[in-house]
Amino acid sequence: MLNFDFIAADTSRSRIYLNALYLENLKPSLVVLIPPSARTVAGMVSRDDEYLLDDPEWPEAKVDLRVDLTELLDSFGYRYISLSDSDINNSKAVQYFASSQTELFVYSGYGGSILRAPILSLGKFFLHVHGGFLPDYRGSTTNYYSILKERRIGASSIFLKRDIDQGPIINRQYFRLPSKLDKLDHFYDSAVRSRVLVDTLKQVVDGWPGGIVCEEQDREKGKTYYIIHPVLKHVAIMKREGG
Amino acid sequence: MKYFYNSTDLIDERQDYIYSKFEGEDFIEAYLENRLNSLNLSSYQVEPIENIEFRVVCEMERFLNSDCESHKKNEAGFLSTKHFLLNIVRSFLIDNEKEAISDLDLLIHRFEVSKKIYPWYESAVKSGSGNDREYLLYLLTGLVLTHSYIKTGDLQHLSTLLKILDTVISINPRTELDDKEFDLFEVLVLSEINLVERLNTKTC
Repeated sequence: MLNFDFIAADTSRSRIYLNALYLENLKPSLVVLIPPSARTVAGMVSRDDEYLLDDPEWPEAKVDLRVDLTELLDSFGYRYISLSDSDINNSKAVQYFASSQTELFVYSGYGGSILRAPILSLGKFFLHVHGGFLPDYRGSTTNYYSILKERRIGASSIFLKRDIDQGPIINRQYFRLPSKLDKLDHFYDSAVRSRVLVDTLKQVVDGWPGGIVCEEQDREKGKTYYIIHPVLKHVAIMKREGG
Repeated sequence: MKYFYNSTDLIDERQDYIYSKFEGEDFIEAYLENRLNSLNLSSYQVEPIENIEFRVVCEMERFLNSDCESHKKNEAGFLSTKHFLLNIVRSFLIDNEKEAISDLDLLIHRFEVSKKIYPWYESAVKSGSGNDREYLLYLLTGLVLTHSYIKTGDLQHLSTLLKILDTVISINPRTELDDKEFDLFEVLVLSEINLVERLNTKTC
């Protein structure tokens, strides 16, 4: 069986991913923490946001998002180290990944923080779960567009390539809408991604390397979306609230 | 509640709309009030989509007929945005929707990345140059986005239209736009609020 490491930004998403892995007994060999910077605080709940979601349908999302990430890792008994810089593409980080014996990394970085050529050229596999059904929904905040178009949300796991959201697809799933859509950003989006992550890891870790079936994306298919305007985000959420 | 997404000059200080907070029905009311205030109106009329489309097509034809001097490229070989927009309008009007949308998507990408519209772009709408305050270009982009959303229902186009109009409202249109530009701005705002209202009430 293949071991994997987990690269974690200090975000709500990393907490929910790690909780999902813990619940499924999928233990990373090592968690590599990316320190936050002033630019990266957006992926965390703010002081007046709700920090705990208790939805029996989504146990993986039941994590206190205020808990320090290292405290959470300690409670799971996961080993961790921290990179020295919040820029994962800097030379020290590249050197670290180059010298690592691990072949497979789960990548849960900060929003907009993209792995660039030096890291992607190391011959390692970086597994990322995109919040949207690929290739139909590439880009950002795609699940809000998906709610407006077809009243469902999705997630897709891919191995990262240079072209954004265009790596080979390992697993993709649609999910019916959760009950509280205003909790999509910090809870449900991460929860649906974590479900795809768990299924993907089971598939990848057990089948490595010969038994993994990937689907190359057709570049001509699908559409790229950009951050949804807040008015449309409200319309998407309120449609659900209105039934 | 105040709509705050256009309260500072968005050409000087970009708005990324990242992790926007959900604030319930009051937010939609605040948005509507913001749009109506920009036109000095207190209410608006809900209109059939055909009326909106008719007005938008009239504006597109007016733009096409009024322009006889746009240069395709400048001395540096950069593509004229006005000419590029004219081509999109022409393609839409002759029912070459596929080409119009493919070109419009290039412009959407540039706007979404930079939150500005430049009068000149490297070919294939790459890096832009020139004065980023040619407001007519923002309005014309808004016009083709409105038309495109009506024709295709592409929600990305409506999302970008909302951002374009935030940008125009942020520069104080009543003082910065000339009369013709303001007329076009009025058509766009009234179309936008009608399209948002339709989406909000539409059942899936």
